[in-house]
Amino acid sequence: MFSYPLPMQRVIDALKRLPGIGPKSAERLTFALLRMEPAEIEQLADALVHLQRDLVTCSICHAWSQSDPCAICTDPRRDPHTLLVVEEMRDLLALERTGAYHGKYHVLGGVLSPLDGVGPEQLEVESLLHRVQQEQTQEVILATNPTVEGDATAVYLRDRLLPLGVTVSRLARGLPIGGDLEYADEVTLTRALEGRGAL
Amino acid sequence: MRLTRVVLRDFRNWNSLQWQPPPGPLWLVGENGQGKSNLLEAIALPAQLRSIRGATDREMIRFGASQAEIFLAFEEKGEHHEVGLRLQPGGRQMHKDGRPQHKASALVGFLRVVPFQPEDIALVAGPPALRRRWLDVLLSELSQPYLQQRSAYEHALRQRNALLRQGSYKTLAGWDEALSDAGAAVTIARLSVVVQLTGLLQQLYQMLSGEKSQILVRYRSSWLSPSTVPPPFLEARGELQEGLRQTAALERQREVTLVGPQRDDVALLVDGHEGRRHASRGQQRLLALCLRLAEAKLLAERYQDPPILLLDDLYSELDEVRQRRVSAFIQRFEQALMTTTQHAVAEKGTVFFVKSGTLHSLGDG
Repeated sequence: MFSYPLPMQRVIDALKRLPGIGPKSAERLTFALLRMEPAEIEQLADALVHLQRDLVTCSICHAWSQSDPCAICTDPRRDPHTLLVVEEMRDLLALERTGAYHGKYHVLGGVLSPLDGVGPEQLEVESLLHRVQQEQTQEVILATNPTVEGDATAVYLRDRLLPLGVTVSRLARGLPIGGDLEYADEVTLTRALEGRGAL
Repeated sequence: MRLTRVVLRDFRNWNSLQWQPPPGPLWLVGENGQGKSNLLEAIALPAQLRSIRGATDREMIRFGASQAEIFLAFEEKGEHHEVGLRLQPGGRQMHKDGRPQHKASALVGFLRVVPFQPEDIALVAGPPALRRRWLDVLLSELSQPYLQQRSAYEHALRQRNALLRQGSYKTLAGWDEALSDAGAAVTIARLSVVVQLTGLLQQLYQMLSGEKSQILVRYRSSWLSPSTVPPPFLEARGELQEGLRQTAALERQREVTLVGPQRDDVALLVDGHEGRRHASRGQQRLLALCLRLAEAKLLAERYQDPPILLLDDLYSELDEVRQRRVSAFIQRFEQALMTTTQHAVAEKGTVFFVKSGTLHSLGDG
């Protein structure tokens, strides 16, 4: 049976390990790579090599960064009194794009999930508690996703944080923009009411 | 709604079928094992997304074939719709009005059928899990939020049970909150349907049986205070949280969550007695049929359009008087497919003969 030449097979096997890439996609991407200019390929290979070599996780907030501590953690214009907790760095970037938040961040590195063997020890929980005690934190904003796991993680963190004497808040969950009260379910409506804000 | 075209390929013993069913009552007449029930199973599959006979996809693919296909065209309030389902070893492929769908939830409530089969007597005589599942399927068709709350609840329950098995309790409180939010919503939705069912069942049972029996539907729950009306959300959530507190010690011992909608039951009472234990077989069978017809009425009200009835071997255990009453009731539906082995029963409606996976109308000889 005919098989791919070894250099192709190596790239296909490597690509297949990426999330969302199956055997078919890996093959298609490999053929696309073959058609690229040598200079482009070298740029790509160089970028890949430097991706890990030039990045560190910030020892304070645990986001990927070129420097440790990261640019946000060392920025004196950032409000040191508020700390916003996200699951992943992607969420941090989404919030940064809004320009609505000026405090500091903490990246948990995931959410609680007993089925996957993820407990508090696998997340950056102790370092969060440590920060809150050491820094001038007054409010911790929990911005985990509104999923079952995100909710459970937020409740767990709230119970750990409240004894430290800080204000704990959660991103408002509730009615979608353009939604209709009449068609919302009880859980959504109750959450929207509990998380209501002053106008 | 009504089916206008049914196409099957390699579904069980149906090699290939191209059928344009007329409206009204349709009789599928044939000996046992000819494919009558298989045809109803195929039509129900794109609507309920699981086999009404509990079969796996592999079992529904014709022996020797690599995949099975079901295509149904139907009319709802004058509009034409199509749904397609392909069963193959790698999984299912679904189409809704010609567009591929990746989530099964996209098809829920699209084509609506109400099946009835002799085994449905278990809805009355069987264990609580069967009634819970029946209620869940019906509620998912009646309300999209229910489907979401139900899967959120099951998800939280699986996570929480995993935690109890691991014996680490420090994050338990987090799961309690997720669990009680979704659990309360699920229970309230079930109770509101139970309230509607009570009146409907009473009416249907008296009409079909000719008896004056009183039928009651009761939602039985170990953690919720008995009530004939659904409680407000905060109250139900509070009671579920309290139930979790009270069973905390025991559930750590048993390593599983002991309260919640996953353990509740829907009891059917005939003249004050538990239908599951005290009703006669004839009463149980009629009650099961009434449950299905009540389901059909609720769906008809919710969508302002009657679902398609799929009644398998309906008359085998009904006497002639009751047969006539059921026939009269079924006339109200736009389309009903019924199977029978006795040609003589098929009075009103169009007759089709089913023989080893083929369909012939009366005119075909």
